[in-house]
Amino acid sequence: MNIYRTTQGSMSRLLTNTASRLNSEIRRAETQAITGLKLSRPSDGPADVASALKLRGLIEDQAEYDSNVTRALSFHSRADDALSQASEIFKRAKEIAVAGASETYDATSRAAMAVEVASLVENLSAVANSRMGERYLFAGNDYDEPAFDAAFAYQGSTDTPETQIAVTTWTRTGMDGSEVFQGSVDAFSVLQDLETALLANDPATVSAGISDLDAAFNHLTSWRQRVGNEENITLDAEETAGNISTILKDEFNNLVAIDEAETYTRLSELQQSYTAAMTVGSASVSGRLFDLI
Amino acid sequence: MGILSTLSSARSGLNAASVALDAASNNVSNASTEGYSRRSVRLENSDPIQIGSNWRGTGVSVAGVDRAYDVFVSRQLVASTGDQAEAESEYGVLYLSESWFNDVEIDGLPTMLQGVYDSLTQATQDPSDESLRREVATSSNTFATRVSSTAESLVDLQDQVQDRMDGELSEVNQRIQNIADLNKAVIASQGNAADLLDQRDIQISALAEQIGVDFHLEEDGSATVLLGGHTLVNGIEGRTLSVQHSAGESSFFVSIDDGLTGVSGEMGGAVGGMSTALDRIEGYLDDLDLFVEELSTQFNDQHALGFDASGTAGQEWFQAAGGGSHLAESFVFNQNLLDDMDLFAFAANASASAGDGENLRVMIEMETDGAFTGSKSGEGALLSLLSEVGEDAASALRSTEQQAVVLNDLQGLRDSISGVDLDEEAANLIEFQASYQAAAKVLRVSGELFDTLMDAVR
Repeated sequence: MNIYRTTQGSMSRLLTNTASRLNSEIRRAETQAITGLKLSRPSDGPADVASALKLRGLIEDQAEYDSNVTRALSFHSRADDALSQASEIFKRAKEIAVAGASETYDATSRAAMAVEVASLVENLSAVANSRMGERYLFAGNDYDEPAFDAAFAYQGSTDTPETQIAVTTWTRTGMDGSEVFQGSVDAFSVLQDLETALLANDPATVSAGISDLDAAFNHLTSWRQRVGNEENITLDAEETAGNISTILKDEFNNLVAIDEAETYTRLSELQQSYTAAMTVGSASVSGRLFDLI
Repeated sequence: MGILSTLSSARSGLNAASVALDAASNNVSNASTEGYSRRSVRLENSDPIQIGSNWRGTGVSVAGVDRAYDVFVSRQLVASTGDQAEAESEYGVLYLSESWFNDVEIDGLPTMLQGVYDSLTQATQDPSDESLRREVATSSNTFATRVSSTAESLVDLQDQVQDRMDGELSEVNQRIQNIADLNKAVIASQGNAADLLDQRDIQISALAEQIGVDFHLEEDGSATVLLGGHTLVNGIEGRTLSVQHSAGESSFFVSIDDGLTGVSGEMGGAVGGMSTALDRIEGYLDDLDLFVEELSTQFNDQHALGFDASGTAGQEWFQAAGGGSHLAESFVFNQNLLDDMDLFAFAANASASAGDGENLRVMIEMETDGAFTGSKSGEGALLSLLSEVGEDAASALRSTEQQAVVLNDLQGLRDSISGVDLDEEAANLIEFQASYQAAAKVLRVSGELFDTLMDAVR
């Protein structure tokens, strides 16, 4: 057999195949240029597509964590405000107690002081029933009901709600009010005892209660610190999520997105190749000797 | 030897040149005819005659018109045609099935499952919040609907492929009979009818494209056509192929002696490619069924451990009632949960505090546990399936491209043997035109000599 014999049919087939191949590559390059994606189907790179989708899933996870972080930070901020107010109440209560323990004041003055302390008790009650939207901050999981009733009995849950802010990190979005306000020291009772002692014009008892006021203040301050710590952890998670998200997006883009300069150059090369192949091919297909007969 | 012999010799030259010009003309006319094998005229000396001690030539005779043909190359070409069609057909079907798993430009199954877990994660902000629960219900329902629609679409695709197989088989049986009929005509012509041989080659090649066959030539000129080791055409007898479909599977048979012999493993060409693709799609559906079963177990078991707003244990989260040929076709999110989101059992305690999301927390952790076959997560199982689908399509495409190169080489080889080169035919035309003109001149000179002789004796 003579494998060197070339016919117009084989030239025509070569031309058709070349046109088909170049057209296919041009179409692919055009699709990439239009979509900005170098992978448009799983078969374009099965392993890369699976990796890209895994990365996209992780990016979306970070977005969800980010949303939860925003919510958690709102809670932390609101809880910190509330505990700050509670601390201020005990600061003022201590000032009143120090004055009330002094022999300088008489019964009338102490009665007036007792009125202010009664108002502080009401303020503390309001703080303990603080809300963020419809949620009571210090009612634990039962946050849709007030944490304390009128008699300062805890109505909430000892379990607290948490929200996920990273793969393995959860943060509190509610607090157990019985621990915060009635833990090692019952903040309500301390204030009520001071009011009673002032009404009874009993400076000695008022003086003795100052240490309880300090203990309550310290207890609330320690809870404020805890909230602060959780806020720091949440902010840290937010920053970490942002960094991770940036890295993941870079990796995702490396896998999926086109290099625009490379794609446009390739497209231009392919179009030139197509024109050249068609020009040369169409000249080769015709039988030239016939023109000379 | 005399003037009359010269006249006779010149006439034979005219005849030979005329036949050669006919052959060249026919070649030029069929230069673009698919399957045409160029013809060439074989000339030989006419038998000489002895006059005394001398031998004198008597001109030229046409020994035959040859068809440029190589059976080895033709068999290779037929085999390659079947292989190329098989790869291309498989890729064509897998390309369509791949669309249902495309998760690059639009959200596919892995991304949508991710959406379910994302909505659960978001619900930890406030497990009792209605809008967050609605998001969970919507994402779960959308995901389940997508799973079932994917399964239904794949089953529909299988049905369409099987319908197409039926159509192909109908043509295949007609073609088998055509080849048997052409064998009959070729035997009758004693193997000399080049046009019939070309037609039969075209039919065999087309048959190879449809089901992938081999052939060999018999001494009587007939072609025996084989599918694997089974004879489809033997002389003037053609056998019938049939197909039996079941869900996602097609079996092929050839009728032999009033019985049916299975030839599914031998099937190639476009039908063989479709059959392979059908098997692969069935595999995807089986994987999807297994995924649905494992996901339902995972979600339903965990949801049952939690308590809803009324302190009742959780209902099934996902359901797959069956009914179709595949479990995944009936995969749904529990309508009760969709209608009443208070039934979400996110709490770990029956007291059902608004913020009790302990069971929700465990449900979120299911995202990364290895509860699926191969110790994969749910997303991992879907990504494996997607990779399998993509790899199958990519592999079929690579095979198509490789086979196209082989087929193209073989077509080039056949062209070099059997194809028409217009330059070559132009040269032949010039050569035979010159022969014809020369023979005509010899005839004229002979005629003049004869006239001279006649004038001398008048």
